[in-house]
Order: sequence, then structure tokens, then C-alpha cells
Amino acid sequence: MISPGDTPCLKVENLDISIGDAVAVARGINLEIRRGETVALVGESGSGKTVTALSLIDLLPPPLKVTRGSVSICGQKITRAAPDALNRIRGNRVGMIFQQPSSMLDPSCRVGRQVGEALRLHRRASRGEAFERAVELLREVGIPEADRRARSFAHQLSGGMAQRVMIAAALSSDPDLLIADEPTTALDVTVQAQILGLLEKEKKQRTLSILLITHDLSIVSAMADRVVVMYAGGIVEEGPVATIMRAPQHPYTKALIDCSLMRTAGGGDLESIPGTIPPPTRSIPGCRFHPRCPHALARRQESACAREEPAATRTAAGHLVHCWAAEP
Amino acid sequence: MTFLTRIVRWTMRQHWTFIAGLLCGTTVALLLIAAPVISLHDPVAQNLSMRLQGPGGDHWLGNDQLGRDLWARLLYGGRFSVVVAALTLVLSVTIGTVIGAWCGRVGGAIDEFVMRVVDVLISFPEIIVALFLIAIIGPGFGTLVLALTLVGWTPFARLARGIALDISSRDYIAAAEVLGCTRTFILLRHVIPNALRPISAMTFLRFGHKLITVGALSYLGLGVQPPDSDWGAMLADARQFAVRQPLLVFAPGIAIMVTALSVTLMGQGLEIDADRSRRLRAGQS
Amino acid sequence: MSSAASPLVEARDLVKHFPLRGSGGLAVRSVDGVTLEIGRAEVLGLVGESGCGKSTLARLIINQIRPDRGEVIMDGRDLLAMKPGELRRFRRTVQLIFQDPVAALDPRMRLIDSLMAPLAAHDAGTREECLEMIHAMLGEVGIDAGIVERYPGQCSGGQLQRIVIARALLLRPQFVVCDEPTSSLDASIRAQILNLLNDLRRRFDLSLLMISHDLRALRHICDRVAVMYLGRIVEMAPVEQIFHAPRHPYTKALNAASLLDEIGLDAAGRLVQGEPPSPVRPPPGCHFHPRCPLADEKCRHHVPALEKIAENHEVSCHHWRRSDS
Repeated sequence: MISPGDTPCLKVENLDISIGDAVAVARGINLEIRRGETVALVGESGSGKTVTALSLIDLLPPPLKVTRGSVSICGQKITRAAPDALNRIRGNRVGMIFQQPSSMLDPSCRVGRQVGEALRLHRRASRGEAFERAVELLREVGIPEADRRARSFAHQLSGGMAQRVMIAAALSSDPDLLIADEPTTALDVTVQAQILGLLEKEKKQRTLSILLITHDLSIVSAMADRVVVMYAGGIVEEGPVATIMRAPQHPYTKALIDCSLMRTAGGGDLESIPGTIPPPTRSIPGCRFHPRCPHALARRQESACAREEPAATRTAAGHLVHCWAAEP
Repeated sequence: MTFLTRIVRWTMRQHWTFIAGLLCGTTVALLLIAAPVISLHDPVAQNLSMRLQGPGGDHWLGNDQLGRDLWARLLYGGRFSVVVAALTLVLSVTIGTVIGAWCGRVGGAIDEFVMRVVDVLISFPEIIVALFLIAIIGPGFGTLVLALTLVGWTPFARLARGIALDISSRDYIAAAEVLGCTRTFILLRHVIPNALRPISAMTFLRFGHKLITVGALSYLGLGVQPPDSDWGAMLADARQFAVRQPLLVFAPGIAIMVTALSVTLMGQGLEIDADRSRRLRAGQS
Repeated sequence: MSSAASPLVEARDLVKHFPLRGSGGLAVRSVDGVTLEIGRAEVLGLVGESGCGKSTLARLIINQIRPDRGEVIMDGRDLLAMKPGELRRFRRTVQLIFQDPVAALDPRMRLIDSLMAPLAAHDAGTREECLEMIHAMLGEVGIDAGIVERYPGQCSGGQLQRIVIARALLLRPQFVVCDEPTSSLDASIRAQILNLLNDLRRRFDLSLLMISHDLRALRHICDRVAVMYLGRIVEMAPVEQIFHAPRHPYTKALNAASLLDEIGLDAAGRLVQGEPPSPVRPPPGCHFHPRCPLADEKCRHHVPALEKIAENHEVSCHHWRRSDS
């Protein structure tokens, strides 16, 4: 079951996601995660990060659907896979954790049984074996008195505990890839670091690949190896976390980092981006960011920014930048 | 003109069941309104030589046991049934919504008291209350409307109260309070407009029920008095002749069914749409 | 009229418990003895995690809910003793800005009607005068006047938050409570709104109470910050002190949580253990002791008083001297 080292854990090629057949909400997504790597998918609302994540395990709610491109996990194709093949990949290769742990747990089912469910389904474990393994997992994710906790219900858990349970459930099938959609947004700020620390520990122990979806750049710089920044349905920049945070090359990435970390501009004001975030359904000719872009090129009349979508440029720092002003 | 186009546009956006119900219901309403024009005969004129005749000639649906034109009686009888049902409904909705919304906003002992009254009233079937009132003040149009309204407002009060409680917990109500808006303003401008959609859905859904109750009371001889008639009374009269001339039973029965169904469809359409827009809003946030 | 030196708002020993039905006398101890002052044209930040009672405290201060005990003095007058009519007039001087602008506006009302409502409620003038005031205020908050014919569903969150701010300021309040005004907004819009609030506060001489769970959002706008934990204030100090020389271990943990990128996960995780306990049964002694790395026997039994350790700096910790380490 071990995949060869050079096969990426997740590979997304030229993915388009649309509402029905008409309006594209994500376009031309290319993404690759290597084994043991954490990639953060960053963007504001309407950037398409969540639909992209859902499409990776074929969970898009209709009428959203993939209209072009492909997704493969550990070399196995997800797009247009047969339902049982898809289930096998989901059950053995991928774990997912969500923003609201309490709403993802069945309130009428004991925690231990839910954690062991995947083992019963995909590994054909007996009820007793699954429960025992669940207790082990709960202990591993740092739940005190795990054997007692395994018999409690979801509503008896605090937010942080519920998220630990979700992580245990996601890890139960020993996945290669963990998709974490805003895993700490609903939690108290002092609990955030604990949960992220847990993810970090599991990643090292199990050489997990993690796709971290978030809007919070301080989490990104604490967790990720590489960052992919999305804006209004498309990727704008991709690169290693250290250089992205220090020297972003797309004007949007730079502005987003400045306002997320609340850096001040001249005159004591915080850095901000003028204008509003366009809804994903609005069509904008040229570069999607150009109406809000502070770069001189975008401000110039008749510039390419307003006419043509910028192609990806590989810069000297190793970033892939979708911007007409980027220099290779 | 702009108002009319706005209404047409609004209608076209609704669920198809609403549009189907609307078309069907409008047809029935137009027929009833135009009764004097499109019925060729007097609904009460007897012609014993034509007793229990089948359809034919200018008697489109034939004649009843006294030789009266069935088509004319159907149209004029429908006017009575529909007017009673509609009038009680309008009264019930108005009274129920105002009382319910007000209770939901003020809360406390008043709310508790009114809701217990509602509980008591709701436990009496409308027909029993109507029978009781008719026994006291005698049958007739007024009694019927009064009796049906007396119990009819309670479900609307319950619904409006529930909605008012829900709306009261929204931030925009807190905002209005902080901004110093008066209670009446909040009730009239925030609570009731937001309650209107679910309440109108329920109104449409209750219409069929009302129509059948009116029919039932008239069937028992407690509604409209002869020689006037309505669909319920026509059914009652036709009972003995059902075998010889089935149309006498089917015509008023189908009329009640079609009318009730078309209005119910409209209500269902509205409800589906309210649900859809609620889910859309929830999905956005 | 009171002197300019006295604070605008004074809350003294406020207590609010919400009884739990059918629990045999248990209650959510939302606010448990809070005393604070807000000066004229001062911005006080109030920071804490969900369930610490910060929103309840704000609603007690603007008299939207009544406290079980304690008093609120505004501009020298006792709010709790006011009659209903007087209270409604008083509403003009105190306003509230909500977390979620979408929820704070009636979805079935055009924005112009939502803006008009408070002016009409206070008989601020004829319709033309009101419209003029609204247009002037829209200019102040940076909104195109054409937008007000729309319904809330047709606008973005940032635009709506500007409308909510405009609506609150139309009545020319002296004191505005902002309950997490930017936490439902995206980063690029959040900065715009914080800049706007900072700007308006200077131009209108406003006193603000800024509530947030994110210390970073408070840094640029507040003069002082109060840190709240389970219904009590644990530290109160000028904003730079809170960031550079916090004394309470909880303040340090909050600080670290908002600066994960600089401090790192391990260091931030070491500053605090576990999760906030339930406000129904808060731990005895110092509420923070089960999570505190400095806790000892004393902390488990004795509630630390809010101690004045420097000019304008109060902290409620037995070990504040030790907490430099």
C-alpha cells in the first residue's frame, strides 16, 4: 500500500469548478502536495478555497460540479472515478476535519463508536476491536481519560475536545492526506495553538500530508511548508512559506499579508485593500484583482491587466506568480 | 403599469405549484364573479318538467331534483361558500397575527394568559363551536363567519407568536431598540413584515380547510338557508338522488375540491419558496 | 453637567447571573463583579474568549439588560434609576455596533429606511432634513449615496458594516459600544473598518468600548485594554503595556495566541493548558488556576484582588511579580 516516493500525495491539474455548466467559481487550479508536506490554501471569502477542497474528495454539493481538469490522490484518479473506487480512496487515503467539530459529530452516537466507524467499514474490524482502537486514537490525540471519554456523547465535549475527536476519527483509517478546513476558526484563541500543535505532531509521526485551508495568515506561517494564495476563484501566487511571508510577489498576497497581520501604513492607519471582494459569480475581464490592485501597471490605461488573464510566471525566488508585473 | 409588471415578475419567480394554483384559482374566482353573465338561467327558478335531467341543450350540467339549472346553482352557490371562507380567513389572519405578534413581543403574564386561552379554543373543533353558536343565535351568514373566526384565529396567533419570538432574538431588533425606536414601530415595521410570508403560506393552506368546514355546516343544514344554496347544501340535497343523477353530487364535490386544491397549491408554492430563500440565506452566511 | 475630568462611563461592581432552568439554583455567572471606567474620548478595549461575559458586560453598560447588582453611571447620572421615557431619550447618546452587519439590518427594509428609522424615532426633523443628515453621514463613512436604495442582501459585508456605523452615528452619540465589529469580515475589509472607526472616533470625539477576542485587532485603536476571564476582569492597562509588559499569565497567553506567526506553536501552547471552564461552575480561587503554569496552593483557594501595580495598570494575580519569567 506504500506509494512510491515520487508520486505526489495530491495532484490537481487544471481544475475548473462551476455552478451548473455556466458560471465558474474556481478556474485553472493546479496543486501538488508531496508526502509529509503541509500546504496552506489561503484566501478570503469567495476565493474558492472551500469548493476546491470539497472537490478533492468529490463532495461538491450540487449544482456545483467539476467541469474540467482532474484530481488524483496517491496516483489514483478521483475525478470521474466509480463510486466504490472513490469510497475506497476516501476511506483509506484521505481524512478530513471541518470548522465546526460539534456539528460534524452525530449527537446520538457515542464518541468511541464514531471514531471506530471507519475501521468497521473499511477495515472490517469487529465492534470490540474498533472500539479499542478508537480509545487508543483518542489517547493519542490528547484526550484525558480516553476510555471514559469514548463512552460520552458529542454534546458533553468542549469545542477543543470535539475537534480532537474529529482528528482521531480522521486518523483512524491511517490516511496519507489530511484535509483541514479552517480547523481552529470556531475554537477559542487559547485552544487554537493546542490543536495546531496536535496536527503538527501527528504530521511528523505519520508523515502525513496536510492541506490546510484557512484565512488566517498567522496560522499559515506557524504551520505550513508551502502556501497557495487564492483570490476570486483563481490561484494568484504559490511558493515556500518563508519567502511568501517575507517577500510576496503578487500585489494581492502582499496586501493580504499586510492587512491580516495588521501592519500599519504611513499616517498610523492600518494597511487595507480598497474596494470590495467580488462575488465568485461576477465576471471580470483580465486579471481578477486588477480593479483593486495598487500596482502602477494595473492603474495604467490600456494595460494588459484589464484585458488578459495573466499566465503563471516562475520567479527567481521560486514562486509561481499570476501577475503581469511579475518578473521571472 | 410598473406595479403590474412588478407583480407579474414576482409571480413568475415563484415555484410552479404556486403558479398552477394561481391559474386554477383565478379561473374559479372569475367564473364566480361573472356568474350573472355566464349562467343562462335563474338558480332558484324551478321547472319540475325538467327534474333530474342530464346535461343537454342550454342546461350545461343538467337540472336538479326541482328542475333548477345545476350550472347556475353551482356558480351562485360557490359565491356563498367562497365568500364565507375568505371572509373568516381574513378576519382570522388579522386578529391572529396582531395578537400573536404582540404576545410574542411583550411576553410575561399577558403572553402566558393569551396562549392558554388559545390552547383551550384550539382544543374545540370548529364545527362544535359553530353548532353551539347556531343553537344560541340561529343559523345565517353572520353566525357562520363569527363561529369560524372565533376558533380560526388561534393557529395564526400561535404561528405569529413563534415568529415574533424568533425575530425578537435577531440583532436588527436589538439595533432598533438601542436606536430608540418605539415598540409599535418595531412591531409594525420589523416583526409583522418579516412574519408575512410564512403567515400568507399558512393562510392559503387553511383556505381549503375552511371551505370544507363551510360545506360541512351547510350540509348539516346549519349554513345558508333555502332557497339560496351553497356547495355543501347542494351536496346534502343531492344525497337521495345520487344514484339516479350522480352529477348532482359530483359537481359540487368537485367544485369544492378544485377550489380548495388550487388555493392549497398556492400556499405550498409559497412555503417551498420561503424555505428555499431561507436556505439560500443560510448558505451565504 | 459634570466636569471634563470625570469619566464618561462608570460601571461599579456589576453582577449578572443567568439562572439555568431546572438546575436547582445553578446559574451562568456571566458577569461577576466588574468595575471599570471609560473616559471622555477614550477607547477601552475589552478582550476575552467566548463565554467570558464580555458581550453581557457591554449590554449591561448600555442598559439593554439590567444587572442583578451594581450600578452604571453615565455622564454623572444613574442609568438604572431612569424612567422609560428618559431612557429612550438617553438612547441617543449611547449606541451599539454589532458583530454581524447582515444580521443587524432588517432584510426586508431598504437601507435608507433602516437609516431613517432612528431619526424618525427621535423626531430629528423633516424628511428632507433627515435625508440631508443621512447623506452627510454616508460621506463620513465612505459609502456611495446610491447604495441606500438597495436591500441588505444586495450589498457586501463591508458596505453593510459602514451602513450600521452610519446609522449608529446619525444620532450623534457620545459613547459607542462595538461588539466584535470586524470579526465577521475578511481581512482586507477588516482593516478598512478599523481605520474608519479610528478616524471617526477622532472626528466625533467618541468614547468607544471595543470588544474583541483578538488582541491584535485592538492594538491600533485602543487607549486602554481590559482583559476578561470568566466574568471577571483580570488585567487592565494602557494598550502598550498589555502588548509589551503584560502581567497576568492569561494576558500573556492571549497575546501569544494572536501572534502565532512570531511566537510559534510550541511556545504559545506552553503558556496555557486546557480549555476555558464552564461559567456555571467556575473553579474556586483564581478562575484561571487550572490552566495557569504559575498556579500554586494559594491560587486554588484565594481569589486575587484587582491590584493597582502602577499608574493605570491593574492586575488580578497572586504572582504578577513572578510572571516576568
